Amino acid sequence: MTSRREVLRGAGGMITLVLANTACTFDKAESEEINAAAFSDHQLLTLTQILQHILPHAALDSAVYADAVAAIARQSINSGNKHKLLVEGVAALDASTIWLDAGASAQVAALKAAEKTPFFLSLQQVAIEQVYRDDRTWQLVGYEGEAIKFGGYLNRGFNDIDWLPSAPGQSESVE
Amino acid sequence: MTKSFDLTDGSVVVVIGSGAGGGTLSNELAQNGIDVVCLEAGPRLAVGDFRNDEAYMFKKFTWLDPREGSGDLSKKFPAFLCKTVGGTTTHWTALSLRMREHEMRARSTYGEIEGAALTDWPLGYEELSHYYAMAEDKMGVAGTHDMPRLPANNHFMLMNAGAMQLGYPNAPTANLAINSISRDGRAPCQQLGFCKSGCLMQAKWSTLYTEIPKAESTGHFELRPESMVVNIEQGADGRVTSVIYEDSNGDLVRQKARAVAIAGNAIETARLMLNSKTKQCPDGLGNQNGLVGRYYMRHVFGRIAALMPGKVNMHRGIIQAGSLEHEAHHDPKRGFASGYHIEVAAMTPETLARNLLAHEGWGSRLTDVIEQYAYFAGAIICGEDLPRSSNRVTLHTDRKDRYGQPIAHVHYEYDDNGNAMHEHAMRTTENIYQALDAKKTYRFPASSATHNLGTARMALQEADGVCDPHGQVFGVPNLYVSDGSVFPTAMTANPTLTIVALAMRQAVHLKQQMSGRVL
Ligand SMILES: Cc1cc2nc3c(=O)[nH]c(=O)nc-3n(C[C@H](O)[C@H](O)[C@H](O)COP(=O)(O)OP(=O)(O)OC[C@H]3O[C@@H](n4cnc5c(N)ncnc54)[C@H](O)[C@@H]3O)c2cc1C
Ligand code: SF4
Repeated sequence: MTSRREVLRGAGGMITLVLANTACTFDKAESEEINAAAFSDHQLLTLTQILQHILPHAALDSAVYADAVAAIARQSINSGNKHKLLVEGVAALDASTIWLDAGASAQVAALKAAEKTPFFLSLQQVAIEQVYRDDRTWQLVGYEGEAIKFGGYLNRGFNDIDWLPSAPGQSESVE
Repeated sequence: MTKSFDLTDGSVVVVIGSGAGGGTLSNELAQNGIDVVCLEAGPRLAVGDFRNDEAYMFKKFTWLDPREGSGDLSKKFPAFLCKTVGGTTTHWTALSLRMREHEMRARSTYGEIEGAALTDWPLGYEELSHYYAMAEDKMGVAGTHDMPRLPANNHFMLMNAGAMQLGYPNAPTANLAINSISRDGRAPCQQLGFCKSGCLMQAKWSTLYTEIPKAESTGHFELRPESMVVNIEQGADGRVTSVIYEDSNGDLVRQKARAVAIAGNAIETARLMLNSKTKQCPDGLGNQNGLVGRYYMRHVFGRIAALMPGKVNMHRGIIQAGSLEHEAHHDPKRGFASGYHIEVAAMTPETLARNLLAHEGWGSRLTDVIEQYAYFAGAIICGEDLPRSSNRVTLHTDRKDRYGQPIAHVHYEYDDNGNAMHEHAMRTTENIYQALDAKKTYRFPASSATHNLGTARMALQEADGVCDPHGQVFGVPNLYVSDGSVFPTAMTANPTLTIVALAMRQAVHLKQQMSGRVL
């Protein structure tokens, strides 16, 4: 497991957390805020890994998950309840063995067992909120985001569907 | 030419709310030289504040002060409406349909239905049609007057093609209050697909950039944003004298008024009336028969998503480009009274993911499906629900909002008619997609109400309603209701065109009353 000191040794203002299958980046301001909310690196890494299990997009940059956790941690700063829920949720997962050290299938099994807990349910909602508001995810799934920058779809495929059957007795599409 | 009126100026008409009802009424009065002060709880955004970002704009527009739901409603968020200048017309998707003639005679057409307080509307269809035509012209409804229909996008072509496979006739794009050509100083639609985020082109009608600035240019109108009305005061003669509101500094202010019109969107309108307890009306203004807040309607409503075999790109272009009216008629053989329509309704990956959780769970089953976002289609069904006395807005017994006012409690349960219609509509929608070989269809969990109606119903006699056929509150000669609260029945159509038509009609009435010195 990565210790805080190693984490802080990252280059420039960037702080890099390295994990077997996760390389995530928190910028300095972010990490200061998050530290203020008193999350340990272990907790942040655990949350990041949980998010990857909840919404596993193989082709998605893992920074998306780390950024999502940073945002979630930040949101919990002023809410003792949210913070407590996250910290206690991680602690519960770690109760017998350190969850993060387990293999992927054991991790998933542990999450399955916890999926009805307030911790998991609330994390699931904020995970969706964060991951699916990220334009890197939008790009992956085919949502094109802001349209004003290219002037809308009027000349950009709003009516380019080409696989519909032509209706009986109908030679062209509707007006 | 924006004007400001004195707080002690008792000659002004005070309009509460600046959305479809309040924005329209304000402008119609101001155009006729009547002085209006419009009090709006929300802030005034400029078009420059709009972003093509649904989640961001949701936070900017939405009424997030607490309400409580029960019955078939979400407990925390029973209804979805906006708190901003322009009200929910900043966010609405502009479908502008007329009520059908038989729907206006709901009691006569549908007959007696147990548990339903059905009634006929207390005005004639011909008269309403006259105002429908005026409202369509004002709003620039595509497919009416000189406004050509909008072109179909992928999403609607798909729905229409599916319906035709089932044998339904070809359908045009919907009557939308969206410019297909430049009109009224506003640009034509560029098919951005962010109609719910405040239309950056201003192609979509919203009172924020139509009625409000037009009213301001008359010199007879003052808008006061961030002004939350908490109480309406009544004099000994039964007439209302003034309103109390909390201004942007958090100070309580009294504005005198010649007449007051409430257009806060049915839940808030009922709450304000109930919260305004006076000597003459100890249970709230107009509530002498205990009817304020009752007969709350929100339409039979449901959402479906379908995973199609080819790309749809539903996010491209107008969110609600089309509406199928094939099942909107009244045909009791289907097992329910009245009908419904099926509207395309595009959604973001976030909304899709939230609603698919119940079906796919978390993990790769969910993400495999979301990665096919471009292949998804979405629809809403919207049908007439029936007025029931037990579906109602009341004041919460102990929770208060940040203005110190009891919050609204909204109770709503579907009845048998609604359940049967809902099932029929959902099945028809699924069939439409399956006719085009949908890989899977998903019914979404129930969502918050977007249409709020009936809480101050109009009637011919005081015993049967809260307002007379012009929206004047019985027993309070100079208090009016100017939003969907007055609807005695819900009709199948989305409500806004009717709200605007009724507000235009009410403005004519108010003007007559004022020149005849009745008001
Ligand atoms: C997602 C969505 C899509 C929709 N799409 C359609 C559609 O396609 N077609 C259609 O017909 N309808 C649609 N609607 C419904 C439509 O928005 C409403 O019917 C319409 O805006 C109602 O007009 P209104 O004047 O009653 O209320 P609103 O437009 O909501 O305006 C009410 C205003 O009053 C203010 N207010 C409330 N209480 C107070 C108070 N005490 N003091 C001061 N101000 C107050 C509020 O802040 C608000 O700005 C949609 C709604 C939603 C949420
Ligand atoms: S699709 Fe048309 S109406 Fe909708 S936001 Fe774009 S320009 Fe406005």
